[in-house]
Amino acid sequence: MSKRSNDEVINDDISIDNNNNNNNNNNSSSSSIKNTKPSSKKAKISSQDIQIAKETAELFKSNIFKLQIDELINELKLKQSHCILIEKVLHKLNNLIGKIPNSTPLSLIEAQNFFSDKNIKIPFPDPKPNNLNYNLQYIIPDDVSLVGSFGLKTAINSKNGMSIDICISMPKSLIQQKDYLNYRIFYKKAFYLAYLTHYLSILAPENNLPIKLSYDYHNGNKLCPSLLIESINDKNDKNNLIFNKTNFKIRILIGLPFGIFESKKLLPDRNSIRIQNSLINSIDDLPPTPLYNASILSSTTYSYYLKYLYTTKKSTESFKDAAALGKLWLSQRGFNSNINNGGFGHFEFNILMSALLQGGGLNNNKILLHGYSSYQLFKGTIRYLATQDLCDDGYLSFNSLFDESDSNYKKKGFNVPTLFDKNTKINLLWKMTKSSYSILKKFAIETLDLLNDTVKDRFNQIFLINNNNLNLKYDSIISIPLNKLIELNEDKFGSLEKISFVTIENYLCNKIYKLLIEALDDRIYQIDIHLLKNTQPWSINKRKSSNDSNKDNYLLIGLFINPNESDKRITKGPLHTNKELGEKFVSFWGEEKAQIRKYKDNTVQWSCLWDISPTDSVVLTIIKFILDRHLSSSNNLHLLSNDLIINSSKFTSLLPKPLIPHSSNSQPLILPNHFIQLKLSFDKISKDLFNLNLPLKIKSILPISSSLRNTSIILPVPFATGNPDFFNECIIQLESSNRWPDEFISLENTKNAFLLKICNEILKNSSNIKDAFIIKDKNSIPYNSNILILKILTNDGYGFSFRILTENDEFLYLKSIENCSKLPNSQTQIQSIENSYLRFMQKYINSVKHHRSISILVTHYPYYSATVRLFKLWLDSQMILNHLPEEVIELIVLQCFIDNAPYGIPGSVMTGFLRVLKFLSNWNWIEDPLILDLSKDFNNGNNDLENDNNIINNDSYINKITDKLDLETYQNINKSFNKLRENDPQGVKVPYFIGTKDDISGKIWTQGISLVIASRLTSLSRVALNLLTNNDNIEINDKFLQLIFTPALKDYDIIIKFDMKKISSKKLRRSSGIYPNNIKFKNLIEQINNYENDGETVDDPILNLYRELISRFGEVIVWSVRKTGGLVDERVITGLIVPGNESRKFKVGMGYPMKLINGNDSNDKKDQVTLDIEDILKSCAILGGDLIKSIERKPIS
Amino acid sequence: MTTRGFVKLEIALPEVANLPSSTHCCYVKPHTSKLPNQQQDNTCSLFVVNPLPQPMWTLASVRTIFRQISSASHISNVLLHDCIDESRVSSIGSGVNYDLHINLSILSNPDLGSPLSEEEMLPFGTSVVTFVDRDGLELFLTNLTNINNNKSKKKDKIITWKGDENVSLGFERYSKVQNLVNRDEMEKIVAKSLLEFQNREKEAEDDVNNLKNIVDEDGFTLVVGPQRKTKSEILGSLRKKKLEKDVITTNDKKEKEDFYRFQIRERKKQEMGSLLAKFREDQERVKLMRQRRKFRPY
Repeated sequence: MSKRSNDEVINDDISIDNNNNNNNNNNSSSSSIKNTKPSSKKAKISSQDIQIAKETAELFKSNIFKLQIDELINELKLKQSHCILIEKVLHKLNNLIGKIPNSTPLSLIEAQNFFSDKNIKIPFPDPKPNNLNYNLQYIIPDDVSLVGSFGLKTAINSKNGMSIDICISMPKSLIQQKDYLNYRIFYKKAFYLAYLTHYLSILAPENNLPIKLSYDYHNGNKLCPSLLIESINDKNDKNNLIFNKTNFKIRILIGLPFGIFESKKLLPDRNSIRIQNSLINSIDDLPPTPLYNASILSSTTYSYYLKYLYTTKKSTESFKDAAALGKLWLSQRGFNSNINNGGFGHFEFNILMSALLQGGGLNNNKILLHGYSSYQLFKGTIRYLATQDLCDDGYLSFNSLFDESDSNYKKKGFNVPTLFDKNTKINLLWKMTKSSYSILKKFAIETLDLLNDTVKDRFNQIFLINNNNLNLKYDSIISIPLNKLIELNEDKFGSLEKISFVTIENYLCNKIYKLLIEALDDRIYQIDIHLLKNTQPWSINKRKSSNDSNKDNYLLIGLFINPNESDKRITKGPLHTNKELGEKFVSFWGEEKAQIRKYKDNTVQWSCLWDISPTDSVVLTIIKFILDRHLSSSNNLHLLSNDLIINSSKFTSLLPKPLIPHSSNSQPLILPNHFIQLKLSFDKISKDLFNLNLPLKIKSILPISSSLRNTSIILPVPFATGNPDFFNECIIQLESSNRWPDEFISLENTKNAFLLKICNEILKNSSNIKDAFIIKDKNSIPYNSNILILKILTNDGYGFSFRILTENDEFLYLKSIENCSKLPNSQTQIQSIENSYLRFMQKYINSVKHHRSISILVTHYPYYSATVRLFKLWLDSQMILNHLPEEVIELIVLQCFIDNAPYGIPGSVMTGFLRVLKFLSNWNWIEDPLILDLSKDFNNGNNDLENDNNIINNDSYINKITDKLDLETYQNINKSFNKLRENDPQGVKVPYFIGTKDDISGKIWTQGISLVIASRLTSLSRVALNLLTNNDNIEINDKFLQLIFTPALKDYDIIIKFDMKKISSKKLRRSSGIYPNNIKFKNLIEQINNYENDGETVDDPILNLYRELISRFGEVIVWSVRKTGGLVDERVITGLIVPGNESRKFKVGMGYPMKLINGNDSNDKKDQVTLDIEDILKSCAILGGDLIKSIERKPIS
Repeated sequence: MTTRGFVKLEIALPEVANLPSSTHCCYVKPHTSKLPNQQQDNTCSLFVVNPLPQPMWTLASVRTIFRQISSASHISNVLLHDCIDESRVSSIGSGVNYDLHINLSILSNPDLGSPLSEEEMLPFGTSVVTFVDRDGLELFLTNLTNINNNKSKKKDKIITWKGDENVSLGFERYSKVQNLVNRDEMEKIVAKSLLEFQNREKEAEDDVNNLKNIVDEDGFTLVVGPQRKTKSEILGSLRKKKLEKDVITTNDKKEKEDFYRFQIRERKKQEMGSLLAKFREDQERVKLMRQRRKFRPY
């Protein structure tokens, strides 16, 4: 309420201000004012500006949001020239309609005869009439008026053009009181439409309006055909009125006079189609016909609601803009008024907004106020959709008569989405289903969260990103060929079903929805069921659109999965003692599936147990089962599940399967046992280490390995030493001491002395250790080559590696930087040392923080782990994985989970994977910082819902303990991004900026990533995404998917091939712990039960060679290799020659093999050297020796 | 003479895998340094630019190469500062700057740090080959110049790299765990290094103690606390104190800031100003976004 008074005050202020201005202008001749004018004018302008600035900050979310909305609305405006043109067309059309002669009353046969020679059919809805005991007639209409968004002048530009609706009202004299029964009015309307069509088809071309006419079901409602008028580009006559450029279509609707039928009789619970049925004894037993009734009522109200909305629009300044925002918001999420697209579009949004302007609260209190800004109207409406349940808990009842403004939220809903107009007795949400309502609500809730976000700018996610791609939108999508489905179920669509659902498609959608909701229960959040394609307009020489269009149409089941419940293996039913429910349960699941089980808590319950399939999640298994049971042919000869197309399973099966005996070869995707076993082993070894008797106690052991946070490509299988992630890195922190040396080498050596001691002690004392050894770590930190690492092999088959961190380490790096800065000309030297410091921070400090964050988030987002693993696999298949720190990849994938708008949290590997690709292909790293909120505080979002209008108290207890990213940190991260890009505008040094609370600088993990790799990743993502999300391909073909996981070797300059006799890929696959492929006898698969390697050799020599090549020649050639060698049959190392080293002046210390450029000794060429690629390749061949089969270099073009 | 006093040394590399035989070019000249035995006129060492990578450039393999040029020249030692940056994990780019010699040890502690080794002091991608005597070097250079100048001689006198029997390459090299440490040896190294460090620390402490005893011109002696261990620490601490002093300025005014009307007015003005500035800034941002066509919803 306080808002309102604020608005008014501000508005008043403005008007006063304006008046003052006017006064000034009027009086400008008077000299006394003239003197003061310059200064006062200046002040006035700025005060006005301030006013605007202040106003927008209050009325809108923030200034920038308002400015963005303004821009967007500008962008959405219809072109003026188009509107002028189309108005001409509409005038002409109106004239033509006036010229159509009346017909005589015709019997059905006469009417059919009338059209028999005219190539026009009457678009009678099903069931086609055989004989009618009343006449059909055309009389000049009562009224021709513009309706819909164009009539209301709230239309916006839309992607596929728009249609302009004209309502032609049948005269009262043609309609009798009982016509609402048994399709009579629909037959009359159909004739009326056909007659009109006939004359338009003659009159229009004669009058310079070349048009194409076709029938089209209005909003997909098969009871209401309409006439669609498109322009024909016929320039034969220069007077021809052509409007195809506008991308507008004109739709003629046949309306009925307002109030022609007693609306009470057409309430949603009434029956208006009286049929004979053996099951039915009296009329009262007939099922209600809500769709039928609403179709009639709504055709009487086309103009009525236009007037209603128009009046609201007049009284609410920002209504028009809010309506535009609403329409865009809906269309970006696939909603419009079409029954098949949710049945909630522009019209419904506007009606809801109007109803909320009249009231809408429990006590008729107003939800929206007339003085609200467009943003407030939009947000208020979204909030209402998000927070009020209009389906089960209650419904919104309003009155479209303005003098009776009572608009109430009423408790107890009708179990269907309801927005009820007491005046017209229409439920305006009649085109919605429970399914589509649940989806709408989901989007509203998500959008409300975004609107409440005070930290980040969410404009893009709310309005600009389109979320209509099937594979991106749903966690899993199941496509059922419509033909097949109808064929199998035609017999179930009896006359009773026909009258309540009108079409078999509606019936099937409804039935499947009910089945799945019952079967899946809380395993899913929402189910969206609709047809892939809407019915298309059809030729006017056919009665209805042909069934051929079903041929490549599908019924789509889009699932939003609840990952916390989805994979549970048991579906629990009623208690055994409850007979009635028990019987129901058995009849639903079938006698074979429904079993009685006893649980630990001694309850005995009806239950179903589900097998874990290697590819299908439990949800999919259940869906297949239940569809087969209830929707296959009655003799079960043909199972529907054979025809289903499910893409998400294909992605799941891409993940490498662990090498375990075949009897248990299915591992759940969420938290496979392997990760748990590894963690147990880690705990055990930690305990052993803590117990050691050392001069200083071990304070903590901090894991930093990807396998310990469930993000490694290959599952950790015991004894699988060939897994590149076999050794799990950990950091040992010792108790603090002031005796650590103040010098690097001695500090490292002191640490090393500890490490050696630990090694000796643990070998002596722990029964858990198979072996332990120490290696030198030369690659973690530049210029510090004294680091040692302790590697331990445990008896249970896992490897760990430990390094020591002291409190003195960081201090010494900082001190070195400080000391260095005192030296003359030290700038480049400082950079190098800072780099060492950065690498130290990565390895010892940030990796720990990162690990901690991820290992918490991984449990909160159940599909995160599998998504990261698949994404890493893809990167590896494209030979990119080695070029990016795994932490970067994990953060990028995390983006799609924590910053998931407008899609929602991925609930399957497929969506997760595709959305990562989507993100990467659209994100502009140069212009935008990626800022992630790694908060572990997941409940705060709900708080916002409740008190989002209250000013959030910054000192509140909740805000103090939350670790959510606050505005200040956000701005700091933004600042460091701007600073970074000032120095590095092209992203050469830091191509990616990923800021988190742990890393304000945003570059800890990304400094030094090659720009070449970064841009290659973007372009590869685009290609892959385009291929995978092409909506035309319902099925993602297996070969196709394989292709996406195959590297494009032809892009590289150099390819080193290996002698696969030396390095058996089969052996490596086994030692990596991966299930063999192409195996014939599953029982012959042997597990690894012991270390098969002596600890001094490695399973994959290629990786060692690769490391040597990078170390030696990495500056001039970008080398790539697949990290997981066990997954490929043919290993290669590829190289891309870095350009720019063709000609340099000779100097000592070039850093790469070179040779003098031969040839003419002219002075300018003297002393010039070039990178000696040939020599490098030769060195590679000599070093690689017997490993190498060939080294190929792409011919220089 | 090829360039800047360097002489070209061509080494033939045999054919390997599918690659034909090829030639590697090194550039050599006498090695000179500040050391008295490495002056222009008495040095016995040869400075080699662009040597072969380490496993191919061992004492044995260099001997076989050099013997082919001058069988009478005997080599006693080969130093090599390889062009290798092992910290270049491909994922985060290079770590070592080939133009610099950085000694973290000294930088972290100028008093107690240890210097780089002789090998590390060489420029990256160079090697120093030391002959037993000066004659060996001179003979070698003469022969090499002869070979280079005489084209016909060059043809039949191809100098070939032959490898080192003790160095394993290929599968044998790369299937080993890299950088494996012998624990017993390492224990000794660590112990020795720590002992040396202790000695240096002791020395430094002695230095400081000596300072205590020195009476300067004005008759003052330096006061040293028991915690102070090195000279620079003392000087450093003085510097640090001075810095702290500069920072701490008495800024503890306890005036009320919203007492006078002008103060409130001023504050409001400032608020308005910042609001407006932000508004303008936002306008600019949106303008930029429009230019980037950020408002296309389809």
